[in-house]
Amino acid sequence: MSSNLFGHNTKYNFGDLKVLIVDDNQHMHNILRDMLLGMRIKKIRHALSAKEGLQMAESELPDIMIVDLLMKPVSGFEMIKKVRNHDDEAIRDLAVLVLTSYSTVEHVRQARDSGANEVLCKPVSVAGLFDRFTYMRDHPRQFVKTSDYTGPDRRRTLRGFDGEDRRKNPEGTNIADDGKGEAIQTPHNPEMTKQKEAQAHE
Amino acid sequence: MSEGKKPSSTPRLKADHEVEFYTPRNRLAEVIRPNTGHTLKEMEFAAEQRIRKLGENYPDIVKQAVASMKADLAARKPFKERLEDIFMRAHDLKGQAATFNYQLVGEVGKSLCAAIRAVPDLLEKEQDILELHINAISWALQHEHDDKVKLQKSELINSLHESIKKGQ
Repeated sequence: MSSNLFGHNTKYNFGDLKVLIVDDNQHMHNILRDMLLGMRIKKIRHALSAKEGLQMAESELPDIMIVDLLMKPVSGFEMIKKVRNHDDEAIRDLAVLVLTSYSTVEHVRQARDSGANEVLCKPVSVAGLFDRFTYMRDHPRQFVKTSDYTGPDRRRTLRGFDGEDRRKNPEGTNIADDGKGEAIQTPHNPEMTKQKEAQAHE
Repeated sequence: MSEGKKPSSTPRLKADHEVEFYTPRNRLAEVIRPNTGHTLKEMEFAAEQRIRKLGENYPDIVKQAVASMKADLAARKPFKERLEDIFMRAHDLKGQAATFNYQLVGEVGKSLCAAIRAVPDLLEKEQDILELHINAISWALQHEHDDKVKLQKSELINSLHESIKKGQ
């Protein structure tokens, strides 16, 4: 996934961005609030539960929702699903950024399957928020609506590249698509390497 | 496939499966304006000033979390519920500690979360392991920025993992 982190000399004005934080931890809210204020974002609201978050989104539409996954009684996963199945189209199409301490592939995949646009792992930083906000701005994703899923298209395109492969690949592993839109490493195949070497000699 | 035998997996796309693609309004492009405002460095600097003030209270927040975990452990509730409450608190520490430069506290929180998810039954039998982790958070908070106990700090996480292995 490309990132805007390396273009951090570019100026951005987040002054008009309306953010809704949904996190049941007050201290986490304070951290996020201070970071967002540092980014000159003034319109910040905070909900302490998924239910409250939905009500706040309904009363005044934010531009982006930052959602924690581990909440009680309704988890972030369930909340995002409710957003994506909402009757109001504007709420259904909201940009949702998941903020979580769960950094395993399984949890990221689950967040994606719930309908999150992007995932940002804790510890949170201004750079991380800046990067995700600008990435989401510059790379809007198409939405898919099926009988059992509504949300951003979960397929991330693995585009082909004709140039020289300059990746360091000491173990001889290969990159492939796992069929679920994820890039995976496949085991080294000595036979294939031999064939390639033979072809190179010819 | 012999007649009458059901296929081993259902087809991914049924004939009546409707898929609609659409591009929603890009609200972020309407409100986030490039080439005006501030650079990332300027934003980080402004945020850092604020976070520093917030960090002054962080040790109190960790102490409060430790006290709450001890109360959770002693509570008259089914063990699974108590464990889940402790997990939530440890999970918060894991996510926030590094922001305030308390990496070791975060690491102990992470170890506790991992133990709760991996060996809940063992923790029910050997509640000492839970207590050990909770006390380790207090110790980590006290010595996080103390270089005199560098070795003990580096061994803390390993010893917590060892305590789990021994219990198994």
